Amino acid sequence: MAAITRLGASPLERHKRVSFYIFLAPWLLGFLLLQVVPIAWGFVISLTNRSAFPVEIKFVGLKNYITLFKDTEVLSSYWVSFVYTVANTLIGVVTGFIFALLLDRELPGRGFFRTILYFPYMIPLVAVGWIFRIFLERDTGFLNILLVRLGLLSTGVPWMQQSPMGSILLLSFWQAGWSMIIFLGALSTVPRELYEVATIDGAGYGRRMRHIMLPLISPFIFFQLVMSFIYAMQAFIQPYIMNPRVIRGNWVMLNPPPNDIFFVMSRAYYIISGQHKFAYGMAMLWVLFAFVLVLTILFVKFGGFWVYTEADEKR
Amino acid sequence: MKILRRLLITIVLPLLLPVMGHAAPATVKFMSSDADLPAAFVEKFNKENPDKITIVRTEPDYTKMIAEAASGNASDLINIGEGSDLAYYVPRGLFKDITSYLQKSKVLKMSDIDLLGNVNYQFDGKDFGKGPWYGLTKDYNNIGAITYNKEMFKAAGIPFLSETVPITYDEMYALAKKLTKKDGSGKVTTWGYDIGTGWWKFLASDMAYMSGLNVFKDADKSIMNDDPKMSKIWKYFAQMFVDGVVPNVKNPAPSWAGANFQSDRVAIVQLGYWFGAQLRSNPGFEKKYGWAPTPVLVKGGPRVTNTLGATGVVMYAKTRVPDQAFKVFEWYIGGDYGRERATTGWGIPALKSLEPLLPEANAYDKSRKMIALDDAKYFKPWQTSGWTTAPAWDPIWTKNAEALVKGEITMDKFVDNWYSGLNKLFADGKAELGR
Amino acid sequence: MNIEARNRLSATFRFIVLAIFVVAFFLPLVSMVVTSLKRMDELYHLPAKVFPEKPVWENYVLAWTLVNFGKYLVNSLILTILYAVPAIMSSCFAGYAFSRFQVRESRAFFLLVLSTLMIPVMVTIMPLYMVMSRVGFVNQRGLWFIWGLSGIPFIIFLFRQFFSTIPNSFEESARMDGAGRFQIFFRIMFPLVQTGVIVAGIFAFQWSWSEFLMPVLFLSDEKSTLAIKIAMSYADQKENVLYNIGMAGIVYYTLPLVFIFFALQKRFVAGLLAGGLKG
Repeated sequence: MAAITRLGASPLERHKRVSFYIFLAPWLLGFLLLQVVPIAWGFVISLTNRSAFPVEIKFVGLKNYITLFKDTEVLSSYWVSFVYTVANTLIGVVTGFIFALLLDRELPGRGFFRTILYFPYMIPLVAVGWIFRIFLERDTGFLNILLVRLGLLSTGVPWMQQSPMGSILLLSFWQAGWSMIIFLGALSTVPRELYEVATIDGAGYGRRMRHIMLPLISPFIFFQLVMSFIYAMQAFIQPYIMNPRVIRGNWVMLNPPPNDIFFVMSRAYYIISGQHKFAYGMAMLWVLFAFVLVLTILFVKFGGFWVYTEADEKR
Repeated sequence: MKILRRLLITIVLPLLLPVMGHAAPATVKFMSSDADLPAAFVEKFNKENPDKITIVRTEPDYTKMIAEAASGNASDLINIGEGSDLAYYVPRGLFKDITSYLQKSKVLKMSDIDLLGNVNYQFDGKDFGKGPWYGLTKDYNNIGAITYNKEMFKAAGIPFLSETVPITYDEMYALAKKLTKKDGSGKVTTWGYDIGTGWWKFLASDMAYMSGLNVFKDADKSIMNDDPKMSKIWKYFAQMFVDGVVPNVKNPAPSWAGANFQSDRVAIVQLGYWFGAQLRSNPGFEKKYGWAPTPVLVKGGPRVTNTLGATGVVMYAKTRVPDQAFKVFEWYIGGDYGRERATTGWGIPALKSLEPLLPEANAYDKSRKMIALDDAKYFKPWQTSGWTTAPAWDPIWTKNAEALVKGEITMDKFVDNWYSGLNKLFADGKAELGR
Repeated sequence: MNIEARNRLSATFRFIVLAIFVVAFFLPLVSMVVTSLKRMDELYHLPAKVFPEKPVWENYVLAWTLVNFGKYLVNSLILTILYAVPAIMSSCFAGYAFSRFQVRESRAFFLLVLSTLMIPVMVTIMPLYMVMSRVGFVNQRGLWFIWGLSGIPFIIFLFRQFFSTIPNSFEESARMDGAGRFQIFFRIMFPLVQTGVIVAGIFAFQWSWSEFLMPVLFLSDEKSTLAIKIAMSYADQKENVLYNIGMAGIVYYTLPLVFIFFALQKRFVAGLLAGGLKG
């Protein structure tokens, strides 16, 4: 049996392979059409001097990439995105996890709490921006009025202008519902009997958590960390909708936000659409892609050590 | 590149053909905001369906326009924010020369076109007001005209402004300072003055004309004029930020100038004729708001105002339905919709024949109309550079003004950054065209 | 202290903590509703007022009529379904393939899936738009179906996790009985990952409901979605943002999501429990 498997010609192996491709086919099709093709094209563009209005297109090699690494504003965007990502990931995962722990066991009004805590996540970001712009306003915003009436503040604070990053991170906190849902799902996979047995054996809450719950849900925590990292690095619309600068109606996307919240994607969008530097913007996005890819691979490799099922599967 | 593209098309096309719909032959795509192309008018047009043309509105999105232009498939008609940006787009081959259409048109007669207001839609590759036509403004305004809150003036014991004799910019500054109010904690609650974001550049251009200066150093308009006299003009506006006379990063206003003014949070704005139509939604607007012509630099000195390039409509160079698109263009400028805009007083119409439609039923409408038509005599296209677009100027200003207000840079550094930032933009624009 | 008493104490504690969070989470929503009932000139007026002088219910009428809400609602729904169905199925298939048919190249493919997650949307969407508009395939809803096929990487990941928790013996016995792969999948495996399908469904719905770049690039106003309207259109003639009416619009905009969540919540919980019982 072992010998046949090594040759890779067993009918079982062939069946497996055929099945694999059959089930992967729809995704592969979509992947090729909507990702490989445009991405390859985008990469080719990043090697040219292409602007939005192609007057004289030339192949310029890695010139865009070299310029990029000398452009302090662009480099600062990578840093800002990274800082945001770390903060956002921590806030989202920790808040979500705490909510899930609080909601995991029987509780009066559990459904209600779950719904309300998840609710903000369901509000699309484009709408959240409007809600918070008015909520955080200095003189007429609900938050400031409330804090002043309660005597916690003597006068309204221009939150978005004073701490633009903080305002954006407030959204991460407010929208932690999705983490919560994932963790609730994770916790429900932990068999109750294990807890009961452990409790009877005299294990306290802390020990039950450390020895039973955490190992069992570690794949989910890992999953959440990776996802959150990847998504936050690609955050795009937040700086525009939470732009502390004056905006008008339709022009939300035309006003670049200040440097301290100008994320990579947001800046790339601005470079492409506002400054018309198509190739340069593409190069910027490609660097982001490479950065996230490398970090994630490291993360996945490293994560394998402490993720319970992952390690189990490899056997 | 070419091979790759062909390969793509051969792979993608057969896959997509079965799902592809067939567009009606006379669909005209019109890129514009809802506000500038209201659905009700589009529906009416499509119902009557003259010449079997259907208008489809597309959202005004720059990314989209660029992607579309790059693939040769942009909307047939395009609403561009500032007509002056033609200087940027035309050399890039984006818009169609519609002179021959205009010459033949029965709706839009050449002799009827208001040349002053449409000056930015005629461009010979170097100067405005000469050469081929690329479009027309939907309407235009004297954006330097002053609108002020009479109640605030009364409360501060300031006499109302003259409707015929312009005040000076220095006088306006003093008024703005006087009208700025702070609360106990030192927080500004009412600002003396405010204008649209980035409109400093338009007013600075007026002021440059008035003192015989050029915003640019070279004939090519690719280097900012760093003459101390010119710098003084820019500093005039920057100082307003430092003094907190206009909303700044330390004392942010809830919204943009117009909305702040409508909420009694700003005393004086320079927005222009159209703002009078906007103010109608405020109760008691006839009594509450006053009008004054665009300020001057020196009492009794030369007057200059501009239209910020005027929002208007142009035709995409590679449109597949130029004839139909022009029909829509005619309807938009000179038809029902153009007429409607004129009668509500949202701007001075592009056609002289529509001008009598401007409202003047009450003293309020009369005075703003009188001021607008008077200001219009002194129109000069703002001094723009074709190496970039008008909106691209603003982030440089905003970013440095924030640093200035926070005390991170000095006023001289501010002006230096302003010049060097713009010079870099212009250089990029030149490189784009391989010059 | 006996276990019962301790449980009650813990429940009380948790209840209080959650209640505090819920109140905090409610504040922006209260602000939203209050704003939606204000007059435009009340918004920034000083002295600031928490509540409107007189609630302006008309805002809710205007929120509907000002942008032809009904039409865009239908548009959004069509696109959402067109996207969500293939997205769920394709992701579920892929997740199944990765969890059950591990061949030598599986891991490479899985990394490929993961890597698609790291591709900034814009890297694909701008060139995609150029390719598509060259072949004339813009302003077509069919695109949403193809987009759905390319799946949602994180849901593929999720499904793989879900399938991994199902013991192999389930299919083995079915295979012994001579069931084909699709039979096994649809009869045995698919019902077992209902939790996943519901979670995926909620997310897929939510994603396409709030997707901004795709519709803005590919669709004209006729086929445009609510997300676009909400982001851009509650403004007056001169682009003043009409926050009051806009907030009313946002209330409408979020309602379908709330309904879906409420409707699926029971099955959602049931699914979770089923997953839990299996151990």
